[in-house]
This record gives sequence, structure tokens and C-alpha cells, in this order.
Amino acid sequence: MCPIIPQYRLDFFTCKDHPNRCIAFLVSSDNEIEALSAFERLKDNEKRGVQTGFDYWRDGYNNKKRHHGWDKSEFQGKYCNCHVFKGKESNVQFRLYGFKCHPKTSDRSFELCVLVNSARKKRNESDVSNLNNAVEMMNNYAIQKAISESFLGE
Amino acid sequence: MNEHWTEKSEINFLFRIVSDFISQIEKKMESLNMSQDQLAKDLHISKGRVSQVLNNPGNVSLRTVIKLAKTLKMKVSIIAYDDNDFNNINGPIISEVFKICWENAGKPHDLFSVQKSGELEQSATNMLNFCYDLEKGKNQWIYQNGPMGGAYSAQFFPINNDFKAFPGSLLRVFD
Repeated sequence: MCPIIPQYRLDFFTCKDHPNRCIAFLVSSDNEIEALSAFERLKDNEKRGVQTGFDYWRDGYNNKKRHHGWDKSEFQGKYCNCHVFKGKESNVQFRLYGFKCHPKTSDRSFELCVLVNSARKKRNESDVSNLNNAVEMMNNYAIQKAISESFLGE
Repeated sequence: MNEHWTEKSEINFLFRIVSDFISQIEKKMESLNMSQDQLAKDLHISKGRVSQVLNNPGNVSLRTVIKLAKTLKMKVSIIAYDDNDFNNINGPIISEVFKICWENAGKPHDLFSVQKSGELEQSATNMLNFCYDLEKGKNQWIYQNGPMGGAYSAQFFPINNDFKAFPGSLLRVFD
């Protein structure tokens, strides 16, 4: 029997015509990729908080309460292409993890953040398993192909 | 084209713009090294209420916004603008953008100051164009008095190694 090869596509949350950045959810039959379904299940205010973080990142506003990345000095630079968006409802925190890439061949400065997985937690520290998963997705050839196809001719 | 999430409801829009304000408040608290406890004390409200205000921007009244700003020795303005985004594809412009532009314009307090700052900018642009014209042509010593005195000429910076503009309304081209 042939193994089922997961299919991937991007569901754009912010406009891909933005001059600098955009955000998309990775959608797949692969169960590990659940950022979109987790986001859709959020309560109204929590969702608004996460969306505010999307806006801030897209518009270049650094605000660690809403989103942040990791620089080369952390985790030996292993996660410097990863990014997290944050939400909070009561005492439980919500996180959406993704990776950043430059999909436009005509504009290498343009940045896309692809959201792949999520977590709920009570502590502030990031669980590296989410980040490792994001890095794995970033290096997945089929996902890279799906990203390129979404930006064909751009 | 997809509309921005703030277009879906007024509550969404309110949440976003008050979030911008809360971000500014938190930044100010950080710069003053002020805790939520202290803010609660200064506002004469409970710590729980402060936490609620900071974490649930959709539920903050304009009166609370003013109180918060005043407690931190800040002021608030409500700004309406037209950014040609009629269908709200891009969402509201982040408040910080307006704040930084205002600060970069020399923090004008009234429309007279805005006009003056516009004139200074125009003079600086004229001077810079003059510099480029000179750069293209001759190598010579030139002294040029700035029409507005020394205040704006300090904004100039060296265009390249051979060409320098100094504060104090003196412009020099080195041979």
C-alpha cells in the first residue's frame, strides 16, 4: 500500500500584496499542522489579541507582549527564522508558532510568516518542541514547493 | 480582496485601536519602571481592574483611556484620517506611527508650529538640492548662509567623503 503523502497549501490571513510582510496559515492533512484550526477555535477576545499581533508584526511594530522572534544569540541561532504570536485568556496563554521566509523572487526583502502549530500553557517560556516542529516544516521540500507556487511570478 | 479583521465588527476595530493605546501605556510604564501595583495605587483602583484594563482592551472606556494617560503624565488625542484604504483592507494605522511622525516634526503644539516645521523642511530640501547641484559640477570653496539660520542646517550630514555640510549655516565643498 502506498503511504499517503500530505498535501500542503497556504491560507493567507493578511494581504500578500503588502509591500513588506504577510502572514499565512499552512493547511494540510498532516495532523501536526493545526495552527489554523486552533486559531479558529479561539474565543473572540483572544482571537482579537492574536490578530493585533499579526498587524503589529506586518507593520514592523515590535511588541513582545503580542509577538516575537528569536535572535542568533538564543538557542545557538537555531530558531532565528521562527516567530510566535501570543494571546491570553484568563491565566492561560495561547501561542501560534511559525517560520519566516522570503518567497518573492522579485523582492527578496519581502517576508512571509507561515503559521504551523499552536500551544496552550501557563508558563512564559517557549516549548522548543513547537519550535523544532516549525523548523522541520520550514525545511520540508513539499512545503517549500507549496510556498513557491503561492508566489509564482512574484 | 479580503477585508481586514477590524472591518468585521466595531468591537474588533475598538479592540485594535485601544490595544495600540495600551501598548503605549505599557511602554511608558516600562520606561518609568512602574509596576501594575503602583499604577493601581495612582489610579485609586484595584490591581485586578488594572490587569483587566491592560489585558482586555475591548472593554476600556474613553474616560479610562484619559485617566490612564493622565496618571502617566501623558495626553491623548483622537485622530481621524483618510489613508485611501476605503474598504479597510489594511486595518488601522498603528498609533505609534502618528506619535513618531509628530515627534519627528519637532512635537508641534499648534498649527503655527506645524507651518514653521514645514518651512524648515522645505529649506532643508532646497539646501540639499543645492548641495547635489554643486556636487555634480565644480570643485570650489563655497560659503552659503542658510536662510533660516543655524537651526535646520544641523540636520545635514556628509553626502560623501569629499562633500560636507556643517551645522551653523556653513556649507563647504572641498576641492
